[in-house]
Amino acid sequence: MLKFFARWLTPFNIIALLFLGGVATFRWFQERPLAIGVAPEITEFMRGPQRPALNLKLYFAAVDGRNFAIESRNIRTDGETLGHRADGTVREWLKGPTAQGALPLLPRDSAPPGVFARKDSIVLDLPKSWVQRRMGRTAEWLYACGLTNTLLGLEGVTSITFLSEGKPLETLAGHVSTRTPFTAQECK
Amino acid sequence: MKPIFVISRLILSALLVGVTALVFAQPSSKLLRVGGLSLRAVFPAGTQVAYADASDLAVALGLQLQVSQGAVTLVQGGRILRITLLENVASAANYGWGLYVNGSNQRGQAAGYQAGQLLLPVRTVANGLEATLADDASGLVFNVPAAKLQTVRSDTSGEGDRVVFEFTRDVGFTARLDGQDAVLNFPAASGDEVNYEVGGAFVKTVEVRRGQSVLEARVPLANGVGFSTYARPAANGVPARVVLNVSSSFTRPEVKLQDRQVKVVLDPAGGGADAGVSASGLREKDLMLSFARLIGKRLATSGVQVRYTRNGDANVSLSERKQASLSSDVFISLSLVGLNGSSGSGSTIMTLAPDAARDGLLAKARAALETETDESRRRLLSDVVAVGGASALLAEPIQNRLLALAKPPEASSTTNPPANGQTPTVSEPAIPGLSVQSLVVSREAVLEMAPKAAALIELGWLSSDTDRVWLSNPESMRLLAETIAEGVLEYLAPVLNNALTGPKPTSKPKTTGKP
Repeated sequence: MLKFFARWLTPFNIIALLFLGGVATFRWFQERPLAIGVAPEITEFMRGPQRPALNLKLYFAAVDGRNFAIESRNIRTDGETLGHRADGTVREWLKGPTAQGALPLLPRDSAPPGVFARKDSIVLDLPKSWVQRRMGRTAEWLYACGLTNTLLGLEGVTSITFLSEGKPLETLAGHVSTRTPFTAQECK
Repeated sequence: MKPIFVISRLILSALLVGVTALVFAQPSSKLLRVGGLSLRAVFPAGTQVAYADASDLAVALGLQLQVSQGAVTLVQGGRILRITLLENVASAANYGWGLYVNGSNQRGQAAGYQAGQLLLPVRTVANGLEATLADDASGLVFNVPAAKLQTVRSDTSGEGDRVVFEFTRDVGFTARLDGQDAVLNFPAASGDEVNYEVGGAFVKTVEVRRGQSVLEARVPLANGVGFSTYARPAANGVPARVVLNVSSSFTRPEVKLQDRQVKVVLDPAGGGADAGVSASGLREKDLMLSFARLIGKRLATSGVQVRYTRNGDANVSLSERKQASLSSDVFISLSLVGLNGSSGSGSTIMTLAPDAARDGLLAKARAALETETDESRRRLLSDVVAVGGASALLAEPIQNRLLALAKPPEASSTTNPPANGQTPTVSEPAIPGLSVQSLVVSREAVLEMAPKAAALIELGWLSSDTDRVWLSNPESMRLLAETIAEGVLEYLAPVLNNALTGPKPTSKPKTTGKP
């Protein structure tokens, strides 16, 4: 019997056995059930610095249909860049007014536009549905300047450019010329 | 590798490099100098044909411009250029016979649109005017040779006198009454300073003087007589002629028969797939079309030429609307508002701020008209553009007349009850609930290219219960349309008084005047 084992106890077989054992041990270690523990509380350090709330003035239509109704809101955006802040602002504007005496200028379920920041200018790439709306010149001016004034409230923004599907836009919705960027001067 | 393959590859590579270099070497635009103005000539992709903005070129050359379906017409005195108009400027550049000069077909490229802008082939226009187009290092130079006054002929009779100015080539001109004299100005014309004796009952002499780039003919008229003018093109050896008719039958001080009729362009919003603002079964595109037709019908009865940007349920692009506005004396766009939940109502007349014209040349021409002191140049410019305040002058009578519909006929009738104690009779306004305001706006795209008086009338709010009552009432709409038409006529009154009268010439000149 011993003679039988001695015959198999070669250095090669020993090394091979050790290797197989090592592999089995590694596999067991990988698949072992994890112990259930209690997650440590998230500390301020783990969360990172708190992003400050963005204070906005949102411009909607007043009920008379000729003036603006302005609402102040605090929002938190997905990021710190101007693009993030502008995107969050437009999405908040799209939610429409909450106070009495103000009217939304677009349906609340409208698809959001593409929002890009280019230096001190915000570029809005509007979906087709936005530019195909018809509301008449008076309401369209409120729509153009409502968005413009809202976005010009962001720090460092001086002009708003409207595009549609990535191309220059002749008019916002049939009347208001959008061939050049809007500035605060025009929408007073 | 065989030498033949190497050589063919080399040739192909050289060709590719050459073509690429050619494409990039072709300038996309060049400076174009025309009559003292600097314009921009563009080269549509893949062509070497210079094109320039139609209205800019017409203004720079002092030509009348008319755009119709399939053709652009330019008028210089008796010379009428008709250039075929295609949708795409790239295909227009390859067009071979796009020019008609006084009805005769000639070689030339067609006109076309590029990104909504109407472009004219510069060389074709130069050929049509028998002008030269030079290409030097600084750009293109468009040079119209001066027309030379050859002679002045006259024809006298008991009914009237006629003075005929004969030129070596077609010439633009303006005519005006200066005191007792008829004064004809021929810009860019040359000629000797001469006094002619006519000896007619109404015209005794003709005095020709040279001014700065203008030849002036002064014709003293007998008391109480008026005059008319018209031009005949040079043809078959007959020189170009400008004819002055003087007769006691002309009751107006001045009539220019070659002038086009006063034209009002009406632009109903929407059309085709674009229904515009809608509410309660009412659609902007239907209401505004029928409303425009009512206004047009009233204007036409007063002798005004009326055109519509659409006269049916058709899609009309913004660029087509702008093109239509180019040739208008008055351009009126008609639309409605709709904002759900709003209490807004009433009519708004909007005009562009005088400095809001997007077209730079239009703004320059307006500024020139406002500052020009030379009467002949003023008249030339006023054929093409109106002063910046013209739109405000149009809006005022329209607003005043609409306001009259909004007020009760006798406002005081409700203040003092009758002595017999009965309930006072309350006078209803013609359109109950109507309010009217006018606004000066910016960025109204459809008004941006209109060279003369232009307004957007937002007639009412489809979201307003009050407005929907009269917007859906045919009688109210007829009354509103007629009121607006009356306002337009009030604005046009001075123009109409001068342009719509005067007999046409009937006989040819017989005698020659003596210098």
